[in-house]
Amino acid sequence: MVGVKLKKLEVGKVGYALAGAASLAIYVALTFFSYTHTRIHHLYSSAPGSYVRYEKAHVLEVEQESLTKDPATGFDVGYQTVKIRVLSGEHKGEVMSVRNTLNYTTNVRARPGAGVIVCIDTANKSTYDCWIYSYDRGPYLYLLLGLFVAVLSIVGGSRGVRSVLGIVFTFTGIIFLFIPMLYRGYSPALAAIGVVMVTLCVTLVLLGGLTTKVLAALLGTISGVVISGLFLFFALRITHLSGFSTNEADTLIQIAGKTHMKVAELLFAAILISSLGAIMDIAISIAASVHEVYQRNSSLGLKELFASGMNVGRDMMGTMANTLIIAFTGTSLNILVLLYSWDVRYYQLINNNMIGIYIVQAVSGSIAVILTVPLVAFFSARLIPALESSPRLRG
Amino acid sequence: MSLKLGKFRNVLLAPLAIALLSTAQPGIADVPDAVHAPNSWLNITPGSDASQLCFSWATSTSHTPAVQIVKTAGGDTATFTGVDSLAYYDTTTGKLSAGWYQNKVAVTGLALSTNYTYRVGYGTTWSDFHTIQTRDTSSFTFIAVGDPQIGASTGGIAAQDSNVLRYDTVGWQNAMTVATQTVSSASFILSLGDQIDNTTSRAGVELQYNGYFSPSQLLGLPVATIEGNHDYGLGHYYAYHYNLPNQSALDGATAFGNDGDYWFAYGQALFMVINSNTQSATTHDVFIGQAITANPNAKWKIVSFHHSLYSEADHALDADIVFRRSAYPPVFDKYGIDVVMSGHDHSYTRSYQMLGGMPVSRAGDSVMAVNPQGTLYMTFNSGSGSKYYQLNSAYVVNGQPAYPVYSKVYWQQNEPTFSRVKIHADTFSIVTYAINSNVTTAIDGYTIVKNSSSLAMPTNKARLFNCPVTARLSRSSLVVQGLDGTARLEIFSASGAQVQDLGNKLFNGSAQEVPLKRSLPCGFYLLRITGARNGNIPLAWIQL
Repeated sequence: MVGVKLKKLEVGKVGYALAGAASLAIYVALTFFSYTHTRIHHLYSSAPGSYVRYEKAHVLEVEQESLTKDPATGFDVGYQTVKIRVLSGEHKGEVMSVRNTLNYTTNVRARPGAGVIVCIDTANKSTYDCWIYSYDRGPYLYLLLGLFVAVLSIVGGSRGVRSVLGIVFTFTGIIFLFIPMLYRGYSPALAAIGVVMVTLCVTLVLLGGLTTKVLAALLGTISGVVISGLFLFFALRITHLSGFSTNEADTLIQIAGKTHMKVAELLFAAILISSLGAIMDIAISIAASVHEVYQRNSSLGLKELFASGMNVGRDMMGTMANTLIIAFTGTSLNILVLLYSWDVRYYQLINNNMIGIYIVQAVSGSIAVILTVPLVAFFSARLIPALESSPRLRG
Repeated sequence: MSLKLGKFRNVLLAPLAIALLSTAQPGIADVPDAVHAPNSWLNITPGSDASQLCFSWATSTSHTPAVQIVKTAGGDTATFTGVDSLAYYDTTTGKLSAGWYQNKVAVTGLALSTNYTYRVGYGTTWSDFHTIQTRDTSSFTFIAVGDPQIGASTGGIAAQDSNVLRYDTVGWQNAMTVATQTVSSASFILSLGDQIDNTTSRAGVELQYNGYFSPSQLLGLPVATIEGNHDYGLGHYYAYHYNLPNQSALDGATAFGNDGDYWFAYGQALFMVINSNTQSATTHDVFIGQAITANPNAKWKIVSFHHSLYSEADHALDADIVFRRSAYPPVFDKYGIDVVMSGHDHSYTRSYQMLGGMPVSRAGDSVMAVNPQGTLYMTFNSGSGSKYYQLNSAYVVNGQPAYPVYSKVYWQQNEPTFSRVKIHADTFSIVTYAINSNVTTAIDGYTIVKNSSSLAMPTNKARLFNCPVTARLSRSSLVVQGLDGTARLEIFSASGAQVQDLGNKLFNGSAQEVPLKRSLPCGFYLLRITGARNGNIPLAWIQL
């Protein structure tokens, strides 16, 4: 018993060391990428001495106000003259009286004491204009994130903290590694698969250590991602959907002209990444269940373990597929409401680019989740008894 | 993949296009057979006022450039000299090309309403002779076109001609032919930016410019150009093609520094052309303030720039557009700008009168505003047919625009359009025409009347611009096309009183001229057509 515990501890250490080394390697790579990033495409620029900056400001007083309720939207529209104190940048500490126009495009109603972001638009040394750009949301967003981390750590304990590390890793990997790779013209599909694999390894190992169940989950997830990728490849081909079908295509093409970014493949990468969470989720759940069953009864064979994995998986796959579809519905709620209220005709609806993308996204993610179930059940049933019986990799 | 193909195709087709553009098509023999010909890319922009013209062309060697100009009817030849400067092609690598020179000459002191003959060159080498007319400024018209963007069309739209460059060039040449025939006495053309599409190869860019400058009409008609986002992509290179009047060295300029805002005055109108590729709105504020100070008596203040603020196609919700929609209108409100004209969204949109970012009123079916509050925002469709954008899917309700709330009229039927803008003492009016081969159809019209207490809005006005019937009024006759059967034609004054009843005439669909009973003064009238088997017009605005 003591021996087993010791081994487990050592294996855990090795796992964490490996995960740490992998993280470090990724971070080195990502700093390399972000360091060498150059802004190739300038949407606009200004002559020397002219620039636009966004600064924090504090509303001291609403000096004048002429607002009416817009009957169509219930918005307050009209004008305010607002006295503010600028809290950052070259005008820090200055008190200014600024205009604030409220209409459909800009609609920030200033109230005394509120934090706002102002746009300070400088034409030359002596001439600048300042107007209220938005509410200052930063502090509240950080508050929400802090709350999330706190809840995760309190409820999840040390695993919660490790989950936070995993999230940080995934997020930085996407921002600093994946996006720069796209920008530099690497194949988005291959970059997505690469980043997904690395993220998977690090996240799963961080969460569960280098254990048999994590190994099984990892293999299952990687197979799931491969299946998802293959399915997606064919689904996008037959439906003629690509990055060019998205709303942002026009701007992306312009950037691609200067950066060799592969716009067409972007959609593939986006969908692949969006289904990763669900695949990972079902894989670790099944692997953990099989592991638990095996721990309770180590006399169970491949067939029984596979069956219990499948049982858990069948219960989960319905809700997981639903999770994906609900998530996609959530992100596309606006357009669904529009399409519903406009009573769009069938052929237009079913051939709408966005609808096509949502369906392909939901279906390919769901199919990947479903096919991951037997794969991860098989890997767990095969690997866990085999590796747990040898003292080297018990977990 | 398709981007790569596009580039590849341009390279492949370059020799063919050179041959086509330099020899095969009419009207362009005089514009460069090669980039460095003595009068390459010769073009004229409006001068500081109607008595001035600005010339620009490219040469391969450095000389003091000159323009010789004489009244076509006879008289003394005047010679104006200017300056040339080394121009270079600025790629993202900042590489200098083999040297060529931009020649700029400003011609001043021209008499109005006069035919002139001119040639450009230096010393002993001169271009062919061309003619250009100056116009009367008390009442004048100009042509406004959206993005010609030569080289922008892709496989789908150019299916009729696999050579994108040739397809776009022919479309542009046809648009210029039709527009100058329809608006036969235009003082100038206003091109709302993205003159060319821009490719990453210099050869491709120069071929697109060959296409853009190819319509022969442009040698006799000034064009006020605007820097669009595609032109901006050319870096310094864009500005080397034009000679712009009153250009600010700093205000409105981008990082390239040679593309600042500029203005010109024409009669009672002040045209302020600003470069919306700058991020700063305050820099335009400074410029507009200075331009108005220099022209304190301008009755009509018109601002033009590329990126439309209130349009409803592909670009309507772009982040950079939303920023401009927040930052720019307060400047126009501040200076009481009458009209803002833009391109970029490759579709036609006419806004309501806008103030404070909101429509002043959305009531009524107004085609005319008398002493209105706020600013009219016009967005123009493609001028060449190279690229069209459709209504933004966020605004589609079974094919009809449902939102946004700021546009009064949207039009997109995948035909190039041009607008005829007429500025009269008290009126600014704009009628937009769609081009289908050589036939034009008026699709929309709007008039702003200023300082007129007597001219009230007729109560029974109506408009049918989409019907197949077109009518054109001259001082002595009314030309109607597309009517079938016997129809009665009546002309009413803007206040609704009958001015002339031309009685019943038999029509057969072709263009028929009906003489007026007596000639009419310039102004706005209402036309009523009743009794025809097709296309009755209850009451339509018609302008003389």
